[in-house]
Amino acid sequence: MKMKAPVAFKGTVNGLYLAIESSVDFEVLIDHLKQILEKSADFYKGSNIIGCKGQQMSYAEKYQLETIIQSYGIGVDSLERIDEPQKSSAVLSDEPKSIEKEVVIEKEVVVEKEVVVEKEVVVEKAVMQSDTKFVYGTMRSGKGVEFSGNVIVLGDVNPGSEIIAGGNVIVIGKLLGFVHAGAYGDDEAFVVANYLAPTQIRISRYISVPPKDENRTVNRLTEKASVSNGVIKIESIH
Amino acid sequence: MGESIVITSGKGGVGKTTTTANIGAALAMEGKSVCVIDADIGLRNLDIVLGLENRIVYDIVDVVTGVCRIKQALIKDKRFPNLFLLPAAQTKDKNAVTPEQMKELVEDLKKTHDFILVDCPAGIEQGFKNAIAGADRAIVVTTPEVSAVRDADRIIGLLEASEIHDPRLIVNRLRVDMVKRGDMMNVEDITDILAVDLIGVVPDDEEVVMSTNRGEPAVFKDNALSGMAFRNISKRIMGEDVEFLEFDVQESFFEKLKKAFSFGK
Repeated sequence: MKMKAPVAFKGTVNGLYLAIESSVDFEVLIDHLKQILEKSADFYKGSNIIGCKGQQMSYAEKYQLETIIQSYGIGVDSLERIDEPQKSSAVLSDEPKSIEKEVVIEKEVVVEKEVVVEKEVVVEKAVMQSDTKFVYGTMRSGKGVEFSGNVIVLGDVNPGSEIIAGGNVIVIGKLLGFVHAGAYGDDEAFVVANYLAPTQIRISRYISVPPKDENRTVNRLTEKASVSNGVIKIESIH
Repeated sequence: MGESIVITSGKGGVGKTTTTANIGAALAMEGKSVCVIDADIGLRNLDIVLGLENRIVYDIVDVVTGVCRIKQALIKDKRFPNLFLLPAAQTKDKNAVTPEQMKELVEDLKKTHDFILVDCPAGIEQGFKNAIAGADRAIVVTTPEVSAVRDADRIIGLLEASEIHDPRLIVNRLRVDMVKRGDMMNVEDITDILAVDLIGVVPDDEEVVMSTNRGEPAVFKDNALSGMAFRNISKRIMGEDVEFLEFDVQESFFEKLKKAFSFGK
């Protein structure tokens, strides 16, 4: 069997998308993309990329891809994933479930219909729980953590350090550094810290800089930051 | 078998070299055999601060490349027969020495001295890696400025990554009057962020500038507050439990006066 190409351009009614093979090394992907573009950039010229399917990519990687594609004269509207419904957006949440979940459901259908729903919830919960990275100890300036799931820090997050998480971020300590929750576009992601005063906070595509409030050191309440109505709101969780 | 201590900060100009010279001199005054190593190859300063510039024959690069023996390169401080300096090379750069060579050198020196103090260059590149290579302990110097504290934080992280745990902190150039006015970070603010143990606070003192220019460490001056602070730090390094200095001498005097009056009423 011929091996699947690490990356390919595919067309839909709305425009082109990038089909990226999962578990492909990013370097390999870039190399292959350049080869394709060298050969057939003229063919794709003038069209727009509307998204990508397959492997999940970080912001830095998306930016790199975007720069390369644009340098060949092809427009990039978005490199967000279009194959999986994002938990966050209410509009998309009614779309069919992803393939893995469907498999589970199909198996169970044979046994009993009632169990199916429960099973699905359990699977989802299990995934959410296992998808957590623990960071032990203080994160000092220059330390960075990037993880596709949730990140929990047992210690302080000092200024100059950064956390980029696909899911939620919880800090059992002071959060003074840079934090980005829901980095792959999850608007429902939140950030919780015993003392929430990050240099900059991002949730999904929203960016906010907490106000400098000198008095805040007095009441050290555990606070939660989340997106509501398109802005990042900080509130006490008690 | 001696102990090696690297004195580092990340940011430049916070007083690493001055601190090294003063602690080295203070430890020597206590009767310890001390060797101070200038790891800032290409920008050597420690010899100037110690006033030993004109006596350099061989340097650290000569030692590690086998041009001379360690003993030949060590400069003995005439004021203290216990204090030795291993100067940096001025015409080479940081890559002239490798961490492995540094480690070997420090191990050799530990056999003959009680304390090896390594003056680390600013930055986190090759020079830093060389300087920390042979260190058993670390002292991080910072000043009460956000940029210096940020860099110190980074340095502590890098030290931990290099298996040098539990570094000690010196807050240098603290201006008590400014802290009182709330215009300068106080020591608690700094230790709160860095979360490491304090080993000393050195006040901002004109005496340090003058003595540095003369090539005489401030610890020689009995009446200088900064010299006293450095002497206390050296005692703490030796394991003695010394109280932290009270800098607000004037203020406390007035407060005492005030109290006396209020009692009188």
